[in-house]
Amino acid sequence: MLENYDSGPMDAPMEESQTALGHANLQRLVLVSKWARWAGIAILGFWGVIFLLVAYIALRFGLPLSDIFSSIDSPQAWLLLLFYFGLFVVSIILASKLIQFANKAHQAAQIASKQQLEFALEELATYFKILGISFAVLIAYSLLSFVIDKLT
Amino acid sequence: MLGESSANPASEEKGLSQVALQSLRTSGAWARFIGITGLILMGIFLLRILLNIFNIGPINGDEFLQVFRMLGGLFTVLIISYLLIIVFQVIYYFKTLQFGRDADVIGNAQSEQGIARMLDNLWQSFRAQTIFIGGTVFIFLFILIYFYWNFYWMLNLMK
Repeated sequence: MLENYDSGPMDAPMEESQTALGHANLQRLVLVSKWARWAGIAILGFWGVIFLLVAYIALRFGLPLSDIFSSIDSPQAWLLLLFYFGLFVVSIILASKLIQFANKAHQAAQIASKQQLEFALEELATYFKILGISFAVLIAYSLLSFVIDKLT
Repeated sequence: MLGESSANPASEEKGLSQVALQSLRTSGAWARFIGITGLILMGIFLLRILLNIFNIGPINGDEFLQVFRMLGGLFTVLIISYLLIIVFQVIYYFKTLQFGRDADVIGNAQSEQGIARMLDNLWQSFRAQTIFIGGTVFIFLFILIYFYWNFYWMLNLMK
């Protein structure tokens, strides 16, 4: 089984292939692409459920947008709204990056293309960069709101 | 800056190109950052839950549990799902951290076994991510359906 792969010394020689990956690692790349795609779909599914719920409430009870916007009257409320909007935008970008990475990695494993593998790894790097930056922003926001709460 | 560790020019001859290695180093550095901060945040989160259970935190643990007990069978499903989400979230951060470490090592000295380990950690990290996000959606839907099923009359009153 792949999970029980016997990891040997790090300095073992590379196998010759166009992608610089051996057969077992190409199979692993397929597995990576499969789960990356599912992770992307899960993120999209999460927002899909939220939107379905909002659509249901809007259809059943109506969505009084003017009332909702008039209740957002303080800078903190606007900041919170901005935060949730940012969260939505970033998670959609992350999901699309994950799916793009999955497609390119799958293609790289299928046609054993070195260039496609490069593209896939670039997508992965962009994904981790965006996730890392949003993580840092999230922590900074939490710390800031904690400090403001303590001060006021 | 993150992801700009020193490159090894000799590594290109062995297999992956410099572009691929640079991408791996960038991914590795950010993945380690995400893994470490995620694990620290999860630690703080779990510590707060424990403090609340032992009535040291701001929420009274007994009252908290009393509310859940009132919900009966829902309590068991929610608690089990919630615990699973926490477990898979910890696995996700841990695997991301391991991937980050491996990616950085491979970025400087490639090996087939090292790449195997890195890819294993990466797919396990994505699997954990899928499970914990899927679990969150499940809990959300479960609560919605439960309350919709049991308190449907209340919705009609609100109309």
